[in-house]
Amino acid sequence: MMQRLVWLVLLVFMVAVLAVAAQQAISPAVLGGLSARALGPATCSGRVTAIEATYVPIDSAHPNDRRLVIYVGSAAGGVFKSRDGGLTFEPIFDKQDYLSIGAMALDPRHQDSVLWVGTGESNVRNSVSIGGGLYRTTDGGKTWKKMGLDSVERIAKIALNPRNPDTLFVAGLGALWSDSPHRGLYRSTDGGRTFERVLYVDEKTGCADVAVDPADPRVVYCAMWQFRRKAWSFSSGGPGSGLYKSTDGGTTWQRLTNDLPSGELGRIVLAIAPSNPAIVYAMVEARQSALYRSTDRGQTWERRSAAVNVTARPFYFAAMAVDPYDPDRVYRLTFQLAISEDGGKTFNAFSYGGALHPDHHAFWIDPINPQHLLIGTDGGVYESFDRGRSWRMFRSLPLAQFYRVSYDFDDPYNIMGGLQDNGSWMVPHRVRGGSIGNCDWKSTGWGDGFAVVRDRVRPEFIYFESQGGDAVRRNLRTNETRSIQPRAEVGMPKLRFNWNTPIVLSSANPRYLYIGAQYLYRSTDHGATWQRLSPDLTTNDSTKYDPQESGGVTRDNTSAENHCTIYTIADSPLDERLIWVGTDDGNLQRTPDGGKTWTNCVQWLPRSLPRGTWVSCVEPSRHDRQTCFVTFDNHTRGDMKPYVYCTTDLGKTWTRLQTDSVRGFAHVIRQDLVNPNLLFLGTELGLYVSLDGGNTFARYKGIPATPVRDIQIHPREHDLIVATHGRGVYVIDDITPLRAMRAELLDSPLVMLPTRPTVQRFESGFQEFSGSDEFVAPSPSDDALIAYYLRGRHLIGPMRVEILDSSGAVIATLPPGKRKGINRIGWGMRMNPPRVARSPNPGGGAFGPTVLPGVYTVRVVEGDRVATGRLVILHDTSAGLSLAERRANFSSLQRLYRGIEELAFVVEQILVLRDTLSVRARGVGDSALAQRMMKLASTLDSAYYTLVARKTSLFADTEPQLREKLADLYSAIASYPGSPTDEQERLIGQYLAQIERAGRWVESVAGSTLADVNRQLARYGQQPIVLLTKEEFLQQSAY
Amino acid sequence: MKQTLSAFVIALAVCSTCLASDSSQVQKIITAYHHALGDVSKLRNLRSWSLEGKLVSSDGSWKRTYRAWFEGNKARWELVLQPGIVATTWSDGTRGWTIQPWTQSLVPQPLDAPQLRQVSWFAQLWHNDLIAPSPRTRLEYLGTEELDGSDCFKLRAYRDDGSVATYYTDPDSGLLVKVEIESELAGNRVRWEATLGNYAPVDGVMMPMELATSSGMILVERYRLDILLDQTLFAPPQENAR
Repeated sequence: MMQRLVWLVLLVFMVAVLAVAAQQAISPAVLGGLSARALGPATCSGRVTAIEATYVPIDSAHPNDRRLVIYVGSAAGGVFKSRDGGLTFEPIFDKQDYLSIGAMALDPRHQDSVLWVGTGESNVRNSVSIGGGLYRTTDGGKTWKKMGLDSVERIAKIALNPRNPDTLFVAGLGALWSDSPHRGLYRSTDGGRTFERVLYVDEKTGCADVAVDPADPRVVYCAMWQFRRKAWSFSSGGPGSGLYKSTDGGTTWQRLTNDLPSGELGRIVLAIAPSNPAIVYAMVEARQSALYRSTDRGQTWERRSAAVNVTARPFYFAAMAVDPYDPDRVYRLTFQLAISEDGGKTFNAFSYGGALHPDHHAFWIDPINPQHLLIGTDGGVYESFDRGRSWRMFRSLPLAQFYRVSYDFDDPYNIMGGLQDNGSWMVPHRVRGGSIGNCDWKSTGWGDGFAVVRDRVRPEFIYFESQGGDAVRRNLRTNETRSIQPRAEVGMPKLRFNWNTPIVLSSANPRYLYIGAQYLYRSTDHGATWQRLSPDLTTNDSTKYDPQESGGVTRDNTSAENHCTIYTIADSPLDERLIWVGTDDGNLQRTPDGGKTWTNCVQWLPRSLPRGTWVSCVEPSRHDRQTCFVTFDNHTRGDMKPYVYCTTDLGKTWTRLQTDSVRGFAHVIRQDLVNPNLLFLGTELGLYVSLDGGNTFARYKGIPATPVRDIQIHPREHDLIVATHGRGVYVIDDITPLRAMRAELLDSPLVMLPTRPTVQRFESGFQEFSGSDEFVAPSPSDDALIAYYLRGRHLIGPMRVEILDSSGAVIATLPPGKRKGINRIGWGMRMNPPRVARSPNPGGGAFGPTVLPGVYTVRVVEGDRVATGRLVILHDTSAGLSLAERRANFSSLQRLYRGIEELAFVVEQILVLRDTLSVRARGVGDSALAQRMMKLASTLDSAYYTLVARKTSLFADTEPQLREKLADLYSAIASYPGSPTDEQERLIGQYLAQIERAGRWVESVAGSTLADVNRQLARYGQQPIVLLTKEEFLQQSAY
Repeated sequence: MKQTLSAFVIALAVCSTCLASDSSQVQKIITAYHHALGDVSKLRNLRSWSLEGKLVSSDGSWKRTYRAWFEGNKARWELVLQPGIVATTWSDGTRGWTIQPWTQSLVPQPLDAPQLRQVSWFAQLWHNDLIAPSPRTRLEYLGTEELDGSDCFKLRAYRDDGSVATYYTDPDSGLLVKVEIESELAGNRVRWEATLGNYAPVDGVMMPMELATSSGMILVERYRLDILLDQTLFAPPQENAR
């Protein structure tokens, strides 16, 4: 019995412990109230991998009234939809698990609603993201259903049987970095409920293209492709590659070889001529790559053009199309759009450079007007109405692919970073008085962009690079540039710079600038000269750094496969001599003495980390010199798991952080500047947050599952800056509440959280009418931010947020946020608007004065629970005004405020008296008295219109009277935070005197004429008419 | 008992219009909703209702008296911009008008079709697909979806007028948290949504004392259910006595 009792007690204890642990685990809901601002850029957009478009009737009643609906699939930013021909776009795939799009296809029966999306881009460059299956929407993108093929990492094409779209083929390219048994061509004959694999070659060979004959859907072509990428090489081609044809709807397949190149083939791109499906084009990658054409459904082939603009980089350029009406007009997308008018014998390319971004991947030809084209490039979507001679860009697709991001200390501060194939850019985190538009993004560099760093000692210098460490310094004042890449001296080994070379400004000493090849370099003269601080810090494995041989069938060397290089550098913010370096081949090096000695700490990492794993980020702690966080990324060996470790003894022992809830390989980790337990982790599939030093992580859902490549925390503004490789930059403004959100608070029902002090700004907007077609990001709110945590959603009973001044008076009541987790709301810092005199005209003082800077109390009341906190409001010193001037402004506004309310009282006295007299006069038998009362009412009416404007029509002169003049003066003084002018002060005095006179006049009327009327009324036994008192007026509801 | 039975009967009626595969889940959610509401028959048989309260800006700097009256598809709401200046929108069920004093005009302007539809959706807030379903409405359970940090049950109603309403209910209390209604009119998407909060009992029914609609946040101070309404509230302008 005793034993059972002990067991029972133990069981209860364990359940309790587990329950507490479960309660304290952070969930995504905790973070949800901290919204993120997406800043773009859309001005350069990003890689587009698929386009589908169709004309859709606006509704069933107007079948001929059609709009062009466009779907855009992107490299890692999901799917965007335009319902207005490309003027505006909205993301429709953001809630899905994967945002890398490989292929899309509209159902020809339901082009207005049914869209198939295959995830996992198939333009398999080094930086390509990953997918996870096939999706379908049946309501135009509002909802999505996963249709399977989850293990197929990349889907290259979806082809529907045009006569029976319940039969569809899915080209499963499969894994890029490893063997995979899930590759091959898949077929469904039941609308996607089930799939069978109808063609499979081997674990190295995927299906890269599929095309169904529109005239005879039993005829299907597909291209099988053997390919493999490693961290240091790419191989296109092999015995598995080949062109196949089925004549029985995909059940059996025959490999086509007649007239096609012999030897190993690479990637093959297919296109059938819609107007004559016997004509088939195939761009065949081989030792002698060329376009081939068949006029007999693939039985025989004729070699056509082998021009560079047709055969270039087949692994990356896999799109080709034939005009819907002309079987000889062929469009081939490579660096440029090449067009043939003679069945592929010759190609003209007039779209290279200039207005159209190079590197093309997706294409749509308008079936109604084939001159009308859409093209998807590495820099967004363009539209042509003259078959490619001129183009306009869609400027509202924020698909930018950042590699690294940084900030400066301007006010507003700038965010800067480099983009895949789109150079380097910077943008202010806010625009004074307005939103952040495309024009606010400024280009700072070219090529593929990576690190961009602003010099803190000489802020006119900004450093950027293009691929392979080609570092450049730009003077932002003069725009002169200087190449600053370190170069190997004679006798030294060739320097190896990563595709994405780290250029880092020291966090301990702003004079130090670092760059990494296989050696670590430091400059103390703004990049002019470099000092080598290390030996080769990599494995220096000569079998892994010969990109000259990379590419496979087609040699391809762009520095993307540079290997055995330094990839991440960081010195300790607490010790400039302590430098951590991570390499792409798995070395984690540390020097405690500014580079004199180095230790490879990877030897001490646990066995849970596969050796040789790419070190993606080193993050020395800002709180403890001996602590460092490191992320490792093993996806280049087909391992998509996150590896995140922490040492607290300079690398001798390591703890693996608990990343069970984390999806995607890890790119970056950052420790908060204030709370050492607050960590931010960026992976290939989103942003994660830990409140407990890495024991638990929760996904931050304010950013979709796009790759998070870099994260920074702005030390002055406390903003989290998140660089994604697919959706540009996001900013989570003010993470102060998160810093206070300790894990042990998660079980509290209501917790007040601090926010950063609010700088009170008086910035006016502008007048712009720029149309709807540009991406616009909001500037951060100027409101004072209030944050609190709710354990659960508040749904039943009252809840409110109150602001109290220093005297304890409630000066504002706000509608609260009620979500589960952190709530954040804004207070406009205004007092209640004044009561204004009744008038047929709106206006007269519609807003209250902005309160003075100071410390206010916030009180959150939820049923019986009350939480209080402080709200600090600061004077904006950047405006050049003293606090005394600000106070003078407030004082004048207060005088006007009281004047407006006093006028409202006087006017109300007049109107109430006027109306009462009119009504009571009708009930008086004595006509003389009635006339006297009506005359007094008339006098009051005239007096009213000396105080308040009479007219009320739009654009008409409203004959401003005292009420309107007061409002005008009030508005003028309120819009500028400095002292009022002498003229304004004089006017205040004059207007207040007028109000006082009006009040005295009313009192005099009450004391003489009205008293007389009341005496006469008394004779008839009637109650006297009394003047409205101030108390009665104040008791009336203002509005 | 009567109330529970009534809720069950209605739930059954609702589920006759559901997809078979998810009908039991739809039924469970609706039963829970009815149970949470209290005397659901009061809403189901509701002929008219009104509310008074304040329309407030999200930053707390603006607060105005708001009044609304509803009877079937007929609706009227008034927003006191300033003493003596009232923005008004009303509908007699088939036509509608609005006076927007900030345009400096007090002449009633007719509502267009999308606006009329939105007015009607607001008017029918308590005559919704979960309380008083039309037999031609098809209800579908869409699983759960996170809304404001909590997973909510999501039901979608496909109505015979082509509009689609999506309802989110709180799994803990069963109460309605949000409703979104959408339809297409001449190629334009017409949407209306309301987020409901601060529930409190009113005449035996749990009513939201906070209604965040497309027009703003309404803090309700008073509901009145099944009252006799002056029909001039909804009359066309020339007959409108107010």
